[in-house]
Amino acid sequence: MPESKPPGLKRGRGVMVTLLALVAVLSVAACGSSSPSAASSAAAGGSGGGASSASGGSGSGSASHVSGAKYTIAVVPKSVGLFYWGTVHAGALAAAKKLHVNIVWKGTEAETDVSGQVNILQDFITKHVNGIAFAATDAHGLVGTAQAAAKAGVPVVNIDSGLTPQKPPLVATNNIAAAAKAADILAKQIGDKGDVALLPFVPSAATSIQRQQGFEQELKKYPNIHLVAVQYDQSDISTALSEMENILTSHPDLKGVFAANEPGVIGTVHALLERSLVGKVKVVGFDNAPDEVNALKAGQVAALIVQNPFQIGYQGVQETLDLIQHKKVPQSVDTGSTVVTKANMNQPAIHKILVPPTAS
Amino acid sequence: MSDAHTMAERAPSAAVVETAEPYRRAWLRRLLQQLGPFLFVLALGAALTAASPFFLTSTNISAVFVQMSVIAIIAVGEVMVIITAGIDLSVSAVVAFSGVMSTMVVTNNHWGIGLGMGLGVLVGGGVGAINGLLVTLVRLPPFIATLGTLSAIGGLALLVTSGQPIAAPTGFDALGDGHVGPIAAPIVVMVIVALIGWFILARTTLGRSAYAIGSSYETARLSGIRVNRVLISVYVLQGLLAGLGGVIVASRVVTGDPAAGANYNLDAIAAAVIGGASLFGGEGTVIGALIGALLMELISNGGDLLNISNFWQDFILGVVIIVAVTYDQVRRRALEKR
Repeated sequence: MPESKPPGLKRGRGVMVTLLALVAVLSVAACGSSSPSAASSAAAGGSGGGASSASGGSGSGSASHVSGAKYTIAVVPKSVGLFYWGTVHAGALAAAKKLHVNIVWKGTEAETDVSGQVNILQDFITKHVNGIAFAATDAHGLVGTAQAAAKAGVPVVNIDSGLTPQKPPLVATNNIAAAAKAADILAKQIGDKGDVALLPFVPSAATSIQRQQGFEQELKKYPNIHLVAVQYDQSDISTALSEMENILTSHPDLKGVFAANEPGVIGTVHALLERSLVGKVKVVGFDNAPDEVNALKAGQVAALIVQNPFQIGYQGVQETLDLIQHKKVPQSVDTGSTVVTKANMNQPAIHKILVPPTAS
Repeated sequence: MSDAHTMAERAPSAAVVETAEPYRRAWLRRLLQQLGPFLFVLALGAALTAASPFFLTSTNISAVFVQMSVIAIIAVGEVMVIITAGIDLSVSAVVAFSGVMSTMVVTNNHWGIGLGMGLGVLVGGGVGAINGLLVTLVRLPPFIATLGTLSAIGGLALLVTSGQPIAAPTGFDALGDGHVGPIAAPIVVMVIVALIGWFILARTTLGRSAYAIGSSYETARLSGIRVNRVLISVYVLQGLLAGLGGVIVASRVVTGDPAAGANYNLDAIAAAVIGGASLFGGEGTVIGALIGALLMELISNGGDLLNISNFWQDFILGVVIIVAVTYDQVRRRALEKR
């Protein structure tokens, strides 16, 4: 009789209490497992584009040799295979060609593989490359590795994502400044007055916090604009859609929205389509994923704030070389962000940023 | 009756006694069970009407029902699984996978939109069948079996898309944004699903068998119920409904997002439990699950309307779940004492 009874169907409070506890743990785990993709789309900016060709094997990479080059610089992204990092790679390669250095490009397969990145960096330190530029997968977890490099006399520059505390020089987008631009363009679009809403994404993600902070600070310059709603969309399109619907319901006079990353932009656009409010409510988005660019072309989005990963790659290599040659480098460089609207999107310089070159 | 007595002697539990209870009293019990959450829904609705002039408008009420539809549809399946003393944790992954599969065949392989959506639903049923087989033939605990498929199917959804969302052609919004007369299509689908779910649970052998298995697996088996067949059917139904939910999600945003649906697992379980389903099995109703889903949606809709931060919304939802289950426990203990 006992064997005919599947174990899961046992009745008894102990089992159920355990199950409930496990459900709770699982939900936390589920949140944890969903945030890497959120974090990646946050950090990776415009990560769209299925065109990226991920190379197989963990810790894949490539080396480019420039004849007669004196130095070899290792460039380690958060991960390989994503559209965004492909653009960083293209920038690093361009710098290598121009500055006459060798580049070794190597990264893990996942932006969450912190220990994998530590291993890759340790190998480069052991090999004693001339310098390393890397994007920290974890602000705290990579501090020790950076110290180890310094101890071994290998100059280090952080690209895209830095450390806490930030010892090496950092080349990255200033998200606070970028979000301030979002506030300015939104204010311009709505004629400096009216109600606006903000959709940040994950309350614990540094980029989400910085974009919210930058937007809210800049908005204070416009006394006639009122931020009437702030809701986190958890980097989930349908959550963004529901929240936007509810905001539109309670604020029928809403004039504008700043959605701080891709899922927020797409969810907002669908809410506006549903309520036939496209054009009446101005949307400013962040990043340049293909579906966002399409929404911009269609006039559903008024402006996109686009980062410059090509510059991050280029200047990262440039600064690493400067360090190798004992030149002084600034502690922090903002590679900038660009406000792209339908009006300027076809200018060659802007188009290059909106639809950037990719290398990996 | 004498049968029930001997059974009760062998396994003296409240649930076994319940099967011997006259139908009318059981009905009264169920009514009582739902009364708490239902009164809470009414009170919350009244409070929101007072607090926001936008709450009791046709646009908003329609939005609330559309927003709750996916959770309600999945909760109808989840309540069936919970009634058998099981649990299905794979629905989050099924929502993502079915949404991705249906948009993929439409966008990449140029399938018809209806056909693609049908595939999405069937894919969910397929995952349900795997869950059912793992629970019955392999005899894994439902928690472990569906935890496994949660991870595996979630991984598949990311694999087939390389982690990138898939944009569907515009006509794909027919199910999510369409209307039947003046009523939004997801609401119509939700009502149909609820009616079918109610009919299965209350009026068919499958439904009765599910309650019997949840009350006492051994008794059900010994009394000739083909438990494996019933359990597999229940998990397949849940899979189909989760697949349908996934297709609606994808249709609403015209995008197959491999990261979609993360919150649906706990929301579906919470809806069932708030509505009086017992994780010990043998208890739960479709109407209860619907009230549970509505209650949760009102909290998030009201929170958004009044611009209450998400942090508070989560906190309030948690308190509501605890209060609802506590109410249920107290009521149960009172009944046991009688």
